Amino acid sequence: MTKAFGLLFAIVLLSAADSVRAQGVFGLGDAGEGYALVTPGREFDFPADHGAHDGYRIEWWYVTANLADDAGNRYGVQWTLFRVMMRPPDGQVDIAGPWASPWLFIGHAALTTAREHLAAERFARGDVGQAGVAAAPAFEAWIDDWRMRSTTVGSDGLAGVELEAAGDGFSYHLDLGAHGPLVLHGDSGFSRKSSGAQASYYYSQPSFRATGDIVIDGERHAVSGTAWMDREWSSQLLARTQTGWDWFSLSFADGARAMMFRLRDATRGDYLSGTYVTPAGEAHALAPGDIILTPVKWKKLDAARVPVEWRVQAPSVGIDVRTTPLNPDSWMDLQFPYWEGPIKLAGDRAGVGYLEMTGYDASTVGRGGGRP
Amino acid sequence: MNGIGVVLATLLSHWRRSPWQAALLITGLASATALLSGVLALNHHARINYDVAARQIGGVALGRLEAPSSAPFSQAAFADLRRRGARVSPVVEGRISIDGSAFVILGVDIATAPRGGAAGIGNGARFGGAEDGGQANTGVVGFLMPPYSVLAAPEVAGRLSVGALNGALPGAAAEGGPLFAQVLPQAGVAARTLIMDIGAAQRLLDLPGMATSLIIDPDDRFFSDKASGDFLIEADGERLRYVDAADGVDAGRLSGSFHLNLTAFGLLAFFVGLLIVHSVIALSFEHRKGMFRAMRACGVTTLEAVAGFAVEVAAFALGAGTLGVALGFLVANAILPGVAMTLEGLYGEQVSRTLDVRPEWVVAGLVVCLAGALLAAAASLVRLARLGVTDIARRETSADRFMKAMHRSIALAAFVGAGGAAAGVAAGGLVGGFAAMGALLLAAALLLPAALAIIVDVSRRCATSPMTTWFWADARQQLPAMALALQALLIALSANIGVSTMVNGFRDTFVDWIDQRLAGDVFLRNDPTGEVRGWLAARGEVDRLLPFGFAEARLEGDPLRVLAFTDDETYTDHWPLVASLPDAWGRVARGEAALVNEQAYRRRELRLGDRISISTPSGELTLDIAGAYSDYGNPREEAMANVDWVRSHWPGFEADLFQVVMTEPTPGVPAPDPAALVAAARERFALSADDMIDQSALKAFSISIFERTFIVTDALSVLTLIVSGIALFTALSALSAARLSQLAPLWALGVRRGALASLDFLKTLTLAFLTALAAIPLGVFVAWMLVAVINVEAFGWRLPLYMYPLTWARLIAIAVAIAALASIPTFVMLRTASSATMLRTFASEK
Repeated sequence: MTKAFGLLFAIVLLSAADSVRAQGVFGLGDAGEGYALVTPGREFDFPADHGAHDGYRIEWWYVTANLADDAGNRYGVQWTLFRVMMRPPDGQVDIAGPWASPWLFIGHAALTTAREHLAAERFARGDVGQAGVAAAPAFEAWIDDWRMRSTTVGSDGLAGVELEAAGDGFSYHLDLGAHGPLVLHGDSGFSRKSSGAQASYYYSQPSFRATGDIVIDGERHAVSGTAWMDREWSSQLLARTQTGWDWFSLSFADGARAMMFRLRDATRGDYLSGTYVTPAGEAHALAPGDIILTPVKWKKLDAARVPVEWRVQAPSVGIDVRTTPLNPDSWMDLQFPYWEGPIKLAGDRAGVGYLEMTGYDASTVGRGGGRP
Repeated sequence: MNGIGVVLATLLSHWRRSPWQAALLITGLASATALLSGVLALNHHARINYDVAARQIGGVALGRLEAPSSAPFSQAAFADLRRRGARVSPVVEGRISIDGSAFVILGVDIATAPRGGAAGIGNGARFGGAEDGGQANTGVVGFLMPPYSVLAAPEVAGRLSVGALNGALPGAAAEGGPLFAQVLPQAGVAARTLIMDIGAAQRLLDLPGMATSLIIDPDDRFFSDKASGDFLIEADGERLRYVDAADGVDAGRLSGSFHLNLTAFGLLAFFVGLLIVHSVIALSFEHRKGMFRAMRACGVTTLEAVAGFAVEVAAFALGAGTLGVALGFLVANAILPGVAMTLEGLYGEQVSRTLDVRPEWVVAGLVVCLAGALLAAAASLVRLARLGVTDIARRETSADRFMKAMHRSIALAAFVGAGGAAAGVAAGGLVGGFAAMGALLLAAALLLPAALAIIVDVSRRCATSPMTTWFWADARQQLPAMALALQALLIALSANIGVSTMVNGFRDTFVDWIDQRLAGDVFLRNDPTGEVRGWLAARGEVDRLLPFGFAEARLEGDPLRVLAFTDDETYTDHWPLVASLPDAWGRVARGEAALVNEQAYRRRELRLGDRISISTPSGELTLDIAGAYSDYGNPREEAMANVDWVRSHWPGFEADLFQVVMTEPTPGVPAPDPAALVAAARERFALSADDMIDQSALKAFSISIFERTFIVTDALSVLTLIVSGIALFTALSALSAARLSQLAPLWALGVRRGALASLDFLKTLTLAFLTALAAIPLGVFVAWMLVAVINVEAFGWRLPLYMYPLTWARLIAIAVAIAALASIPTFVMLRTASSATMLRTFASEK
């Protein structure tokens, strides 16, 4: 009756023994043959585009929040739903049924404090009702009892959003209200990831205000702060030679926002890209040459060596800040491990943000100006 | 050549002169090792299989949700519960037949499977990415998406073709191309189980959109605070029953008793084999005393002599031990099917039928053989160490030695018997029971020579003719040399009587019980729409339908299954009660009381009239115990209550199992035929064999499971008897050389050779017969221990102890036959000795 689970665990663990690098995660570094292509000039259509896009290999709904309670304690919250196609449409056989669906959902949730970093994950098959995304009649994305759903009615389903998730030792419930427009990254939402064909469709809501409750180890805290949502879908995100990325979302105290990322490539050189959003909500793409991301301090964690402090510069828009993590050990010790946590900005402009770093492991050697 | 080398070469020269002794020594060692290492191999094999099963179960018992009727339910309940925060994973399980072999189909969702989910999906996605154009069918994507990969035990994967698997699909599911791509060998999958994605299993079992249970993740919080009270969970319109993780059979503990049983037999055979070894080594020592003295006189030190002797014994042990281990492998392979059937029948454990040679038990077998051989040689080694160069003159008669040995034996018997019994009582439980039994067997064996000596002495005094007086005196004189072989025979016979008494008693009780218990003519389940019942009710040969079912409760926190039954004479007239109050059935029918099974009755030391409190979904209920019923083969505690009473206390309870009682046969009308009714219903409603079965088929099935259960015990007790026969043969062979010189004087006095040979033959048979007689009370004691102590400990039920004099008579006959067989060479030798030989022997002895 209850057989098979431990066994399956053992079987698949054996094949998972080699560490999963960002390259391997969801097959992001593989050729995207058979899947829908990401090309420039796509017209975005909201709220339909808040929903899922068939034909692409991977898509995500990604929220990060920088929060604080009345006592001034800082927290970070992450809510992510990935939708992954296991096999391209032309490789699927003609057998219908909910379990035969090519879609897999993967949920990640985390809550970070200065002392703790709690993370959880969930998996679900495509069409059995356990997870899903709906753009209409009201936006909703869910996996198990983790939910992100629209609390407002109208053309922009993301104007007001309710967010909840729970894992071992933590849970949260946040209400998010947008205080600015959606931002299309890259070339009107066409975001290049390399000098080659790698690209994604990418937009954000960078200006949520967040209020709600978090519960850590049974203790409830009322919190408020800012939140940022990323929406991205692609069939080929990384070039084969790219080994991982460093991604920053920055929320400045003056209301400006910035997103920058670096795709690390030891062979062909790093690829950098970003967007600057003025306090008035105007978005400007940052050219690769406009961005300088420099690791300042590395930390050896149990699983990997990671650069936890950075100098982030975008001279064309007057950014030169140093980032420090709320918790340097914000390691997402999940099936696909990576570093993700809230950061604080210091330098010529104050603010908070989120940093995500993938593709690091214990053998990583620092480069690009950081201490090796 | 160094000192030891010379000693060894000298010692080994003895075996060249006495190849017969060498052959006996090797036979003894090999037969002792064979049975024990065979049993070790079986136990080891079974343990590996259990580990596999335990790993499949995930190492922890998992709670689950099921429909109250255990019928399949909509998988929508799964998504509903997940969205409410419950960590459940759907499973669809069923049995199908593929090319005539039955398989358990286990459909799982590895995305949500406890512990496995994360790893599974992660690799699935990765493997998916690595595919060439998505056509390859490797890794977890091949498991998750059609055409599916199926996991099976390597031995099954080698046999089962994908074509056969695709061919087993029901018609509708076979459309749209082949569903299965490959059967992958996976060490660790239980024999005859196929693990596949739930989507594949639903198609194969023709259960689209259905699950048979939802497994609860050990990390789940949703049910952790609900386990104590909420037995029914409403999910998407389905009412599901919570089944606690603990609510299962502790197969390890139960089958542990079976393995202890096997080990006990292995040790018994080993002990009997060692008796052979001991007697051959002692004999070879006696024969080589002169050689040892000569060596000592030539300057060989005591240490060198002892070391040489020990090395010789060790060499024999390793050589014969290897042969024994090989034989053991053959024995184990021969009885493995029986063991596998026993384990499956009794405990539901799946054990593969293929035995691999494992270095662990080869080494264990050799070590045990070596240790046993040195132990058997210990007495001879000590005597060698004490042997002085000038000891030649001081000869002790064998009679003196025997008297001393007998006194030692009696003292030892008292010590072993009392010590063993005390240790057994102190240890308690199954191990204690076996220890006490072993100790008392050993004590009895130690007392045997003294008892036989007394009988022989008394007989000699009562003898009137010179020939009978000589007969008994000769028997007395032979006793020391045959004592060990007779002791081996005693132990083997007692074990045989004990086991056969227990098994026969069990069989009689069980058959009787099942006759009473399976009173309905036909049993029906899985008829949710009632169409089968409607059809049955309209049939003339069906008299009535009696609904029954099972509800879950808790007794002092432990799971208690409640059998809800309809008051009917099929129960009141037939159901076997081991204890009951007056009007027990009437009180149960009125909902005033309940019956408990023997397991609960004995374990909880309940008494009739006791009032117990049980937890049910509608709260705590008190029940008066009106009786206890025997419930062989059920590892769980159970109670019986009236179906209406259960309905009123278990919301949502449905009695969805049915006994069909057919009309009484009337003269002139063909008797109603349950088998024909079942065949007709199966044909009409496409029912499986599990859904509807007639009483005789069910009885035959139950009894066949029972019969398998003791195949191994029977086989081992016969093998032990064979080893004891070898022991007797060894002892007689060792004696035969000396017989001529003992009998020649009688021949010279005028007794004919034929008469001498017959008397010698008769003497061996007499001693064997006396031993067999002694084995009867001992065997009955063994049976009593098995029935009253070991079975109660192992299974929780107690059987009546029946006596089987015919079986005893048969065993006595077998013992005498063994003795006769073993004496034939001596008989022939005496019978055919020429007059010249007799004369020469007589002359030289004088």
